[in-house]
Amino acid sequence: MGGGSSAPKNTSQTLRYAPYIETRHQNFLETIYAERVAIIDESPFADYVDIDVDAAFFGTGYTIASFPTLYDMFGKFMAGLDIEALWVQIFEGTVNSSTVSDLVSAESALLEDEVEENSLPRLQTGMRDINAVMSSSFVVGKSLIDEAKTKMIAKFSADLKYRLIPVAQERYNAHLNWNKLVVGTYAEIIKLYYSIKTDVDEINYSMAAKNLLWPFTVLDFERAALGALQGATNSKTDVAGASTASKVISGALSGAAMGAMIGGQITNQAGTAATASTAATAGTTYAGWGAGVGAVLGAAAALTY
Amino acid sequence: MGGSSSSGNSSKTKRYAPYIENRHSTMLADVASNRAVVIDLSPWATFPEYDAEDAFFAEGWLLANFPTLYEMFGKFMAGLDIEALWGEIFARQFEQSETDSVVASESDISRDNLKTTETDFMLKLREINAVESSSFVIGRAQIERNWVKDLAKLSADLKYDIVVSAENAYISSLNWKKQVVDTYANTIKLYYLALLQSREENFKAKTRDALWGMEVLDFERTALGAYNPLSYYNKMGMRKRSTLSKTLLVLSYTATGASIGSSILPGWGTAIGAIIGFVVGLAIMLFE
Repeated sequence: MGGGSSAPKNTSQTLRYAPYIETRHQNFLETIYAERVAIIDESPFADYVDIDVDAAFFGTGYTIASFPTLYDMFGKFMAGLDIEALWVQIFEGTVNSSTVSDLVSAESALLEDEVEENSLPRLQTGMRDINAVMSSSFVVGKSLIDEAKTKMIAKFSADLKYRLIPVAQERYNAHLNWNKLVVGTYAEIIKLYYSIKTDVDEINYSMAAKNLLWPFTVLDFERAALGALQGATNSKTDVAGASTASKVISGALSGAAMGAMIGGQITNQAGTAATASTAATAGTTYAGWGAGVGAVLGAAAALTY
Repeated sequence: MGGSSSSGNSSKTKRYAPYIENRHSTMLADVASNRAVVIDLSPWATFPEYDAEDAFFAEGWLLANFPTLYEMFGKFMAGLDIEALWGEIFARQFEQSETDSVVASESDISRDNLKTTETDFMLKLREINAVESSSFVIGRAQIERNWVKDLAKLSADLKYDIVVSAENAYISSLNWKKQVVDTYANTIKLYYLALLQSREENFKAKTRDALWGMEVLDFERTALGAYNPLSYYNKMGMRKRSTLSKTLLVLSYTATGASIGSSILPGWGTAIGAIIGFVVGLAIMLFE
């Protein structure tokens, strides 16, 4: 036999630490093992109950598909609205309504009563005193009073209807604005639904993920313990599967809380000073923009937490 | 440090100066004894869970017991017959008996004044010996006619005012119904905000309770690896807001404050609201 062996040599290198460290480390690993065994099946997320959003918006058993779509609402309240027919309807309903006729009748009855109970008896008593009840002058005098009553009722009817024309205009404006607000509010409700739904789903799913990843979260401590002497660290700043959903919600919702929600209000331009009304309208517009900006910044602040 | 080698296997032992190892050994003993004391004393075990539902609904009630947002929207907005609402408000405003009472009392008062006018008229007609003439009759009738006209004018003016009042009531009613829906939506939004935050805090506390032992042991781990500069205690659940986020937070509150101010008093209100919002945002950022 001759020659040398050419088989590769297995080499190993053992890194040792001072005996007192190794003893402590060994005890430590046993302790952390026991701790791991104790809690690895005790996920705090196991009893998490998913939050339901649909119940708050639609009711049990209903979904968003059970309700009119935004396009349906837009078609019904805006695009499909016959605004000419609406004007005619509102004008007639305001100026020539049965309530207006009733008011004229009531006014007529009121004056009739006053004439019959007060005015005519006074005239008749005076005429009787001078023995002129049978005279033509008495008849003329009586007709003067009746004429006044008739004219005043006619004036009341005409004035009332004339004064109701701007009211009809205001009603028309209010109706159109209201329809727009209905569609706007519906859109905002849908936006709110998806905003909350996505955030809540994020929480629900992240909790489910945390529950599934719980053993790994626990084992990660043991991993770090095993490598403690080499400087291994527990890399987690939270439980595995943690999300940023709550930050998003708290940021976005608090930022938008005061108004990104739903537009403005209907203003009564006829009943108030024009400047105040214009200012209020402008204020509403600025408020809406401000709230929108606040919402975006709030969400951005949360996302960049 | 020392090392040994034989047959390709080697062993290397990391050692430090005896005084360091002595101190380290003592410290590890202290850490271990302290760990044994606190490992079963989780402060999170007694964390009282937040129940957001108690604040929103009475005990035993749930969100599902109350109308949904779509129901409220349907009742107060989409399903509202605003033409019928106008009819109701307009009729109701005129049904109020106060108007008729004012007319009746004015009628009584003006009748007293009328007596004075009639007396003056009769005295003057008597002075010219015209009491028996047709002029006297017509004159008396004209006095009555004027009285009827005055009364009719008063009654009409009162009713014209009510027209404006009815119009304002109509607009207020519409705005109120919209505010009901807005407020309900905001309430739901607030509910979910509170619910998610409370759940987050509750589960954070439960997690920290469950991991309390590990958290305590983590100190011991870092103590064991004290010689290694990479070994450090990694605090759980502690986050800090970035500078960008701080800036955006303050801007968000500033914009929100400006929007609230604008809705109250455009111009000055916007500026004042923005200042207040800025201060609030700054305060929140500083105390966070």
